[in-house]
Amino acid sequence: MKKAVSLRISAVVALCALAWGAQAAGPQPARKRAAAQAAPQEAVDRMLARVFRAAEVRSRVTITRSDPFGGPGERSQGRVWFLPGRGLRYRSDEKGGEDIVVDREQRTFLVYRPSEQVVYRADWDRAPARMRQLIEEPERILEAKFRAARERRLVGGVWREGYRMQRATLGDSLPSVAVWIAADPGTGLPRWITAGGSEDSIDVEFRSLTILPKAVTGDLHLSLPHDVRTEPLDPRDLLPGGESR
Amino acid sequence: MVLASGCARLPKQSSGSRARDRFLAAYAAAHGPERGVAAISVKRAGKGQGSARVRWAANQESLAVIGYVGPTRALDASLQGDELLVLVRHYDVGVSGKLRREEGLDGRLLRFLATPWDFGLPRVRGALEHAAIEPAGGGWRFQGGIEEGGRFTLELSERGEPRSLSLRAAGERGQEIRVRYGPERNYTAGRIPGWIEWSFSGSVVLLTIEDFAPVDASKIRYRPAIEPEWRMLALDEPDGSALVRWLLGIDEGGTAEP
Repeated sequence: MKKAVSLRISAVVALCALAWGAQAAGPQPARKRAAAQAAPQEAVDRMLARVFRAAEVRSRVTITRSDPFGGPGERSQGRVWFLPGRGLRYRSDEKGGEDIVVDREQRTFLVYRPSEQVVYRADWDRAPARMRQLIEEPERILEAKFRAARERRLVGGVWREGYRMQRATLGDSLPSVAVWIAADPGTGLPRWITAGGSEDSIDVEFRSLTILPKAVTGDLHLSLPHDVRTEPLDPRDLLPGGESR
Repeated sequence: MVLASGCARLPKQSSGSRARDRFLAAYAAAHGPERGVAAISVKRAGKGQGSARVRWAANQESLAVIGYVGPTRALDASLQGDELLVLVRHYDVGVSGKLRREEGLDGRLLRFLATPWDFGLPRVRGALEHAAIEPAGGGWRFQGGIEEGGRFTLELSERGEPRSLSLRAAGERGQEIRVRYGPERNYTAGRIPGWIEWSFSGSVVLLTIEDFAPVDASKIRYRPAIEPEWRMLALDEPDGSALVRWLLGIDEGGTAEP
């Protein structure tokens, strides 16, 4: 069960990355104004294109998950590195959190748990299929047709202009979700994403999102203490015929 | 689950029957639906250790549990009497069906073992009412049977708080599960142990409870939406049964364990 649950965080990474985006080329004011006037579909396409066509994107993320039973939500923080075509990394800042790397070139899928002093290693093709698709074929995300509509929402006590996207491509643990995305008004880069289903919702805030002109492949390198053990991670073997998503 | 608000510290009882009455009044009283949040760590024999977080909500014989790793919803499970539903979201796979005691999966026993501080479940309360009680280690010891489910021993501290529970499932191959109760804490819904530890088949599961509160019964969903592309197995299929046994840590041919 440990191996299975270890992988779930990777799906959140996929969710974060899938939801990334910004206007086409830069955060210049003129472009922002143009984007604001653009049709919702076009504006969202521009948002997504900027991230998925980047050499690398780095961001701090705050993820808040609601309690389906009505209790208080739960917040966690971490960092994401996304290198379209190459790989993806999510590192939790929480105590006992994981550091997950999917590296297409190295053909590896690594889950490091500092609390256990173990790095779980698997081949690239054992990484969740949605993550692999995100890395291998970011263009497919851009080609997907979202039904976007303008919608204002209250975020942290402030009304934000954003777009409601009705498409269930985000997979992960909320398959039938409605997604709302809004750009940071200062940079034009994506800042807030909410994915909500009938039972619960997840809010992701990208802080300090940076688009790099050149990928730093070292960002996908795990710096591990020398006494860390390596164990195999082969999640699909846990279930006959199971397919990681 | 517990606890009427006035049971902060129970006085030492002078006789077994008084200790029983006091325990039933404090720990087996009727209560409304409740929810909780906890950290869970699982250590399986020879397989290292894992951890996750769980949220649960329970109402009478029904229980819904959601497991998370980080902020990601990883697993849903529900139990309504003998009806079990498990969804492993990451794999888009699930299993549902009726648990059968003769196949080593007793739904109602599982329900109690999932929240073993909830002595108010009718079947459990009934067992306690009929159990033998004797002094033990400065406290008290209940011994009895839960219908056909198995034999149990419940030990109370000097103050009448649950300290440990041992349950041996019925049948020749009935396995034993042990439960240890941590010191009690005050929560919104009452006093319950701050942690619970289950031991069985070389595995140890520790639940550290962070939040325990009343819940609106209408917010408890036992049947989450199932996507059309998910692979749903029946519990009476070999794959479905194997999945449930793997999740519950049950050896083939063994008996229900949490």
